[in-house]
Parts: sequence; C-alpha cells; structure tokens
Amino acid sequence: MIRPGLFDSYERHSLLRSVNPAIKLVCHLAAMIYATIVWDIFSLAGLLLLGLVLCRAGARMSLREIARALIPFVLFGLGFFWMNAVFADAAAGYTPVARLGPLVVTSEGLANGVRFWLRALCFGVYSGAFVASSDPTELALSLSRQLKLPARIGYSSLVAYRYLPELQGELRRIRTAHRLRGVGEGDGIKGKIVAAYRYTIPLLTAAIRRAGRASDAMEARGFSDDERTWYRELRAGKREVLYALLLAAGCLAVTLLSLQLGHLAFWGGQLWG
Amino acid sequence: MSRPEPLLELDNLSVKYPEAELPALERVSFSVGPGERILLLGPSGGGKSTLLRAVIGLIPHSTFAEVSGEVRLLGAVAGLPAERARHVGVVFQDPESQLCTLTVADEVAFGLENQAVPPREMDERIDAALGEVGLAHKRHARVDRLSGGEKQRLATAAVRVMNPKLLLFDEPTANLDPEGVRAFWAMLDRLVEADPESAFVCVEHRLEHFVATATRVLVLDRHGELVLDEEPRGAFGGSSDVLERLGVWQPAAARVWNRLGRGRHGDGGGAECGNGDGGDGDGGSGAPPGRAPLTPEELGEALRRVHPGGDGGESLGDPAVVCERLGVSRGPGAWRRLARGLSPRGGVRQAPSEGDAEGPAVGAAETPGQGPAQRAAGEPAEEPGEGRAESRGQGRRKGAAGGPTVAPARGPANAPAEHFGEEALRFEGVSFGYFRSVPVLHGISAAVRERETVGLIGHNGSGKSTLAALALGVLKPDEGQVRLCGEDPSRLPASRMPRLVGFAFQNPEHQFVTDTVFDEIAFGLRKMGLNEDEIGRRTADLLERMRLAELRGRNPFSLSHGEKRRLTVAAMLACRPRLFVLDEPTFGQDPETLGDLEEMMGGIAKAGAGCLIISHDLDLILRRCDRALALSEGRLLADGEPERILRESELLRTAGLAPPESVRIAEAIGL
Repeated sequence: MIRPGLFDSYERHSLLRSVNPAIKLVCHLAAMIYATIVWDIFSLAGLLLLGLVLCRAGARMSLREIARALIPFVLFGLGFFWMNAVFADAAAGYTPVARLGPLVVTSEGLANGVRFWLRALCFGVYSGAFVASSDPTELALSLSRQLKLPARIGYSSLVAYRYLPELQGELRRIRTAHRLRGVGEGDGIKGKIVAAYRYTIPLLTAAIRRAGRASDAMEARGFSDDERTWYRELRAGKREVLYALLLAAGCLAVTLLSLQLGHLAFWGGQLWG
Repeated sequence: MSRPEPLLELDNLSVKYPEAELPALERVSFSVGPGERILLLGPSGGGKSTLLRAVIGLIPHSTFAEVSGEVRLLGAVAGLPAERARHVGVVFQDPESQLCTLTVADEVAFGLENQAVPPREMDERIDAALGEVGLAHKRHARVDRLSGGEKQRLATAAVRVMNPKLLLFDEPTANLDPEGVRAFWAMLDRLVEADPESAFVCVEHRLEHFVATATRVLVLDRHGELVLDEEPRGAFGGSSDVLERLGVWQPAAARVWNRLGRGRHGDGGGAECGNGDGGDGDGGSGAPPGRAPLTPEELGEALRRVHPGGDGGESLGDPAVVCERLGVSRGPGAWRRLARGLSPRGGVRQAPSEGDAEGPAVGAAETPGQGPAQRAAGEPAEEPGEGRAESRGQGRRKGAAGGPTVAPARGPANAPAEHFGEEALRFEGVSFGYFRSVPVLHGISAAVRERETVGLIGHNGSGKSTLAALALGVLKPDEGQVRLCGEDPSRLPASRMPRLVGFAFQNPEHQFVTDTVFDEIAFGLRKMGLNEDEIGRRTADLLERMRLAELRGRNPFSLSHGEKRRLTVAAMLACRPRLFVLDEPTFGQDPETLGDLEEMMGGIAKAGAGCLIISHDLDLILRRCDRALALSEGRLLADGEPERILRESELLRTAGLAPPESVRIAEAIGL
C-alpha cells in the first residue's frame, strides 16, 4: 500500500530544499539547542512559532503533514507536562490550584509543564522542517563533503534509510505469519513483550543478512576509502550563510522581544521544581 | 589462430570455510576469454556462489576462508575487491539488497564515483549504461519504486558503467516474475550483441533463457570440483548423464531429446541433432557425443530433421511416435502429463534402464481412476506427507544414480467434482480497493474445495496477493463475502487459525515462533491442548517424514533454505488444517527444494485439505493444479482446468501471461 509519508515530501520544491542539508542540519540543531537554553514560555512559544513558519513557508509542509510530524513530540511533551503539573514539589512553596485525589496540581508545576511541552514541540518543528526538505542522498553527500565525515558513514546511512520502509513491510508480514501460526498479539504487557521478542529475531536476521549483502555489493563495485569523486556537485556558499544568519536573527529577535517584555529567563537545569 | 589473452584465469583454486569439514572449491582451474558466455551449474551448496565470490575478491577479503591457488584477471594476480572491480562486475540474486542509493542515476554513478571518474564525464556514461539495459526513461526515478526486474537491470547498468570486461551473474532472475525474467534476458541478448568482446559467467537454475546464448557449460560437483567443461549442446547431450548424476537441472528440450535418442539407440548412440546453427549436422547416426537441442523451438526443428533411422524407419517428425517414446498418452490431459514428466522429479530425465524401455516414463502412476478412485471408495484420509514416503525408494536422493523416476500418484486432471470435499474457501462477489477510488478486485466469486489444488495466476498487480490477504482475513472485502471453512476469516481469533489454514510464506523465516525444530512442529499441537505423549508421537513422525529428525534440537534460523521450507510445511501439517495457501512457492527455490515442495503438495491433497497455489510459474500450475483461476486487472478471467486455460492463447495474452516451457515443448512435439 502506498501512503505518501513525511519521508517522501523532500521531493517537493521549497525554499529550504535548496539549502545544503548538512549546513541546514547544523543550523536546526543549533536552534534546538537554543530552545533548551531559554526557559520562559514567551521565548519558547516564539521559537516554536518560528519553527512552524519554517515548516509551512520554508519546507511547504501542509498543516496535515505538520500535525503528523508533531504527534510523537506532542505525546512526549504530554508526559513531561503531566509529571510537572502533578509531581512538582508542593513543599517548595508552590501554589496549589487543584487536587486530583492524592495529587496536587500547582501553578508553578503547570507552568513548568507547559515549558517542557513547548520545548518538545520545538524539537518537533525543527526536525520536521529538516526531514521534509532534505534529500537523503544530498544529506549523505554533504555530510561527507561539508562536514568531512568518511564516505563510508554517509553511504551506510543511506542504505539504512532505504531499508526503513522495507522493514515496515517485513514486520507486517511477520505479524500475519505469526497470527496464522496461532500466536495472537498477546494479552497485557507480558503478551506484548513476548510478541515483540518473537518479531525481533526474524527482523534482526533479515536486517543483518541484508546489511551483509549490501556491503558485499558495494565492495564489489569498488567502494573503498580511497579517493573518490562525487556525481552531484553540492556546495555550501552564500545561500547557506544567509540561511544561518536568518535563523540566528529570528532567534535573536524572539529573545530580544522577550527581554523587552520582561519575560526572558534561561534554564537552570531543573527537571521539575 | 592465436588465442586472445584470457580475461580470467583460475589456477588450482581451492576454498575452504573455517567451520566446514570439506572444501567448498577443490582445485578448480579454467579460463575465460573475451566474448565467452559461460553457464555455471552444480547442485545447491556445490560452491557456485563461492566461486563467484572468490573471483570478485569478497573471498577472502570480506568473508574469511582458506584460499589456495590463484585468481588472475587480465594476466595479473587479482588484488583487493576494489581493484578487481575495474575488470569484473557482479549482479547478485536479491534485487533489494544490492542497490545502495535512492535514485536510478545516483545508483549508476556510484561505481564511477568509486573509480574517481571526473563528474563531468559521468552523465554521458550513465545515459549510455541506462540505455543499454532499457532504463533510460527511468533516469530520475526512485529506486524503491522500480519493479524487481527493473532493479536487476539497474544493478547490471550500475556494474556495466564501470566497463568491466567480465560480468558475473549469480541467479539474477531467481526472484523475478516472468515479465521481469523475460526483460532481463532480452537485455542480456542486447548486451551480447552490442558488445561481443565482453564475457559473462552466469549461475542460473532457470536455464531456458540463458542456455541458448551460452557458449560453454561448466559444472561443479558436490565437492566443489570442476567435472565438466563443454559447449552446451554436448553438455546437455552426450554428457548429460554427468549432469543427471549430480541432480542438475537441464533444459526440458534436451531432456526430451535425450529420452528419445537414447531410448532408440541404446546407450551412447544419440541421434545427431542438426541444430539451428546448421552446418554441423553431418548425419553420422550413432556418433557420440550427441548434441542436444536447447530450446523447445530447436527441439521441434530437430525432430523434423531426424531421418528415419535404420531400425524400423519411424520418423520422429510424427507426434504419435514421439509421444509413444515418451510414454505420454495423447488426448485430454496430455499437456499435464508431459509437464509432470518434465518436473524436477518427473520421468523425462534419462534413458530407461534395461527392461522398462517400453514402460511409460511420464506420469506412470497416473492411470485414470487410480488414486482418487480409491479415496472416493471411502478410504480414510491418509496421513499428511504421504507423498514424501512414496518417492523415498525411488533413488532420487542426492547423488543417487538416476533410474527413471515416476511422478507421484495424483488424480487425473479431469477428476470429477465429486472427488472433492466441502468448500474450504469461498469468495462470493468479493470487491476490494485499498483506496475507494481505485478498486483492486471486482466481484470475484470462486471456491477451493477440500482435496482440491487450485492455482491462482495472473500478471503482477492483477490482484493475486490481495485475494490471498482477503482469504486470510488480513483484509476485509468492501463488498461480498469471504468464507474460510464457512466462517468470516477476519473475525476468527488467532488461536483458531492454524487448524483452518496453513500459509507458506515466501520467506519461511517469517513463520518461526520457537527456538528449536522440535518445538516449532509441536507448537501448534500444544496450542491444541494435546497431551505430551501424543505431541511427541506426532512430532517425531513429522520430523521423520520431512527428513528433519537429526535437526530436532537446532534453531530454525540456522537451517538451510530447503530445510527451513520443509520445517514450515511440517509445522503446518501438524495442525492438519483444511486449507493450504502457498505464496509463490517457486520463487528463489532450487530444483531440489521445489521437488520436495511438490511432493508435499501431493501429501496435502491426500490428507484431505484444499490447496491454493499463488504462482507465476505456469509449469507448476499445469502439473499440480486441478483447477486454475486466472486474474486480470482484478477480474476473474477464467476458472477451469489449467490445461484448458493454457490452450487458449488469446486468454493468456489478455491475462498478460506467456506459455510456459512445458507447453512450448508440447507444441514443439505436436502434442
């Protein structure tokens, strides 16, 4: 069954698509690191908004695609939110605002929860914008060329990337096969773990065998660490510098605005409380 | 005329894997010159792949093994794989795992990049290479969206672009559908024509295509020794008993020819085949070695040109004589009987031994009324796997000198419907689409009854796999009903499935759920709540029948492919389901495993279960199925006897299918 996913959207033309992937990766990682440094809701929301603009205008993702890309981050963030909202230490002088049985919800806890949630979403938008606008081949290539990683690493990751959708199909077939053997998904957590163990071995076997074949095939075609040329010319130039500056300017603008409004705060390393 | 410098020379090459007792290759020496096209044959596990890997240097540089002797490329001792890649390229069997980039052009460029070719020269070379394999229009396509056949052609282009003088193929078409196979060999023919200087070495079980192109046949035996090096017509003619002894698959045309020639003249005196090359039919009757025709068309031609011999003056141009010699009775079901005889364990193999020269070689046990009549007479359903036991005494085992073998007993093609039991599977007006706008199946109504073997045929994308998924309840129909033993399969709990349906997946590994061979078979029985004594007894019985007894403590993943296949079938048989579904059972199989599998099919029908075979292999369908369902564009085009369907060329064309080898043989001999 063909369902266009996030991993197919790089084929579409967009502003971000034309930025060198390795440089873009570095820029987005920097933005994500910055989102772990600032700690006030206003700045985090600003960085999130900036990321959303990148997704929508920069990578031309549809709202639906953005929503789908964010699902795991929403869930992850929800976990953090919940922990903070109800487990933040009331003894630290936090103001209780509600009670859920034995759990006390504090206003400071709620605020911290929102911060962590926003932070998770920031990670989501910057990764999403990157994935949806980057050709994996160019990424592998630019990792070697611009970031000077060995070609071996770039090409191995390409092979692994190619295998992802097949792995999914493989898993589907294994599940069907096991159901026909009379093995259900199992009840409860224990059943699920046993089922997962049963799936793991055939999946792992297939993956290892495939990796071996791929490496043989590549070696037989003359792949080595010796000197090589590159079919696709991939440069990093003014465009990349401009993109880095723009992104930095965006972050700076959010920070300054936040400072101006008196919100700006930096993270002190606390997980909750 | 001086011989040109050889491209490849093997000098006493021996290879021994560290964990193996015996060497995989034993002092193999031969050389390959420009323009040679070599077919490399041998029993499975006989070192063919090892040989190719040693030539490209993966052995010993990637897979460790003890190597002695020498591999020379263009006169120089071969070095690391990357250096050898300049002279020799290889296309592997698996289309999925030998490509490493995402787009077609990048894939072809990969080799050039490795050779540090300047980027400005690349486009031109990529275009040329893609043009050669007929993929120029796919230059910008994504690799994952190509068909298996296209991927294999792309793999060929990706190697050819590096300008190797020698190209190796390791069963390149074993995993392809008929269209992919046809296009692949058509491509190879074009390469040979465009570049007569290049040499090819090909390991292949499916001989019918490459054999006509080959200039030489090399045969390795079970111990990795080179036992034959001859041009193909001689190899499959006069030297065919060497191949026979090794259990190596031979072209059907040659087997028929040898059967006719030998049967007539006694040992060694094959009639000379005046083949298409012309000129060498000097008519010396009885002059060994015999030269065999390699394709059905050549066989037809050869039969017409054979002069009436001295003994009785019969002409092989007369179909009646040919049929009599082959022991195939004419009339309804004749194609099927011939196909049976041509199967991996069929009768048309070798000269009959003294005494049974008159006996039918093909379908001997198929006297109408025999098998089914007994069953219909109320004989209790036999234990599954009976077909296994039947053939055990027939000297078919590894390396056994081949007497004539006989196709296992099965019902005649036109068995009346009463022989079959209740409906094990029924589709009633089934329509389905993955997306509402794109229906895949339209109003399919068909059934598989118990004791009946039904083939599901059709080109790629005709809806075969979807229909199978519906039968298993993996998908639900949009309209209509699917009934598995009277119940809706999509509502059945997993625990009940093994007693209703056994499904043989293309990859047997997907079905393993335990850690030992014994547990794998016992698994279903334990689920059924039998006591341990009964489980032990039944499991031991199946282990014995499936020749797995010695492996009972092994991990299923550590078995050979054929053993894995037998284990999955044993595990299914243990639960005695009422329906078996086999998904492309011939994909990637060597003849021996396929023969095993076919015997199991016989056992399935005898055990009283229905069997649905999804396959592109029309030879298999013809010899094994009571009925065939032909799908095209999601519609049921025909539902009837396989032979009747295959005789309708118009119908075949509409369904996008080509007549299989056995049918072309039948036509060549005028059956």
